[in-house]
Amino acid sequence: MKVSGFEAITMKTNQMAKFAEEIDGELARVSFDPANPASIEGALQQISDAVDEKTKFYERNDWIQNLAAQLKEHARNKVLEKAAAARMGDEG
Amino acid sequence: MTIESALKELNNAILDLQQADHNTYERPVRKMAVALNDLDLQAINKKLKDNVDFETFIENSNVGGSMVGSSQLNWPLERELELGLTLHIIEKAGSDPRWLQNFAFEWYYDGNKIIDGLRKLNRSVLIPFARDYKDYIDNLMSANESKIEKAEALAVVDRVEENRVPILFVSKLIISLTEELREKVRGDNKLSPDERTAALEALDKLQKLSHEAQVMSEAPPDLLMKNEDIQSWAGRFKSAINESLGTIIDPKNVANAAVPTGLILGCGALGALIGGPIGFGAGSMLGHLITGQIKPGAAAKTIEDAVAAKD
Repeated sequence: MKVSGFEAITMKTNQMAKFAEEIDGELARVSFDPANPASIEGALQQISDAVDEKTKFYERNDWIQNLAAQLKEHARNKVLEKAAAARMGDEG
Repeated sequence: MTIESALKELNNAILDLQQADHNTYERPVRKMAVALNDLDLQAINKKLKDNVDFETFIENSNVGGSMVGSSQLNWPLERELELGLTLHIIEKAGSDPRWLQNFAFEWYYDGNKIIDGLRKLNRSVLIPFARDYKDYIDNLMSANESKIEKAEALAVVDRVEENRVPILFVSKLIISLTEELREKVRGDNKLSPDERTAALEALDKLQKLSHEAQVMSEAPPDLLMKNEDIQSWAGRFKSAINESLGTIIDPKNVANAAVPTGLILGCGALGALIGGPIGFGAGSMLGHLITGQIKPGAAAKTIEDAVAAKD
């Protein structure tokens, strides 16, 4: 089957949306002690591994492959923000 | 700053470093060094640092080949040596955070970004250090506490051995005097039933502890060392005195208190013979009350405060 340029873009866009949704799911599931740096590091590693794992499923999607490093950084920031917010909640 | 708050500051600085980027890592690095420079930690840290030679540690590590990121530090396996070396790293970093940046790039390379090396160093060195250092300090503190407890226990045993005869005599005297006071309390119509019950219960407790002291005065030395009740006797006795006298000399009926002077002095003496100065306070204060050197209201307040402080 021939995939036209427009179809390819649509497919990549859909895969990107699905991939982002999957990473969001991982972010929602990850748990850690927000006051314990070692526990946070464990969560960051878990997210990083999940991004690597899920990226493998989309090896033909160059957008996802190229964005993996940025997504890891984004996921890292999300975990750290969540930890900082939880710490603020504990102090408040 | 207490040791506990210094360790919390260290943990917070590491959390901040975890979140930092190449523009903001210097502040948490300096804060880590400040937390570890706490007065109470200085002697401990000096000992750990003096045990290691940081320059030799670096010289003996594997600088790798020409390839970037191939250098590897040759960390010792002994926990105390690791702690000492990391303390050197944090101290150097505190006075020059840029040094840490170069150190991380050399030994914890994780890509060309400056912050990636610092992050790798944080998770590989600083976070494990904070965990192990806290354990080390906790162990040191609990070892010190058990030394103090052992010294206190030995002091109690020594006092009992030295004062066997007076303890036997005074405890018998207290038992006899509490019997007398018990009769007075039973016949005192001004006391309500509840007050009478509370006073009798308090006297029972005092009498039981005096019996314990009597047995203690005749016990062999090895039994004195092993018996935990002996170590806790002084604390329980002081609490019972406060309770007994506080119950009998309630602010409402303090003017009618008829506690024999011998009982008061006896309680103070027995407390001092076994527990040192700890048992003497309440008895001595009651002595002042009876001899008119302190007003009843003030005495009652002092007893209430003593009981509240104990609780």
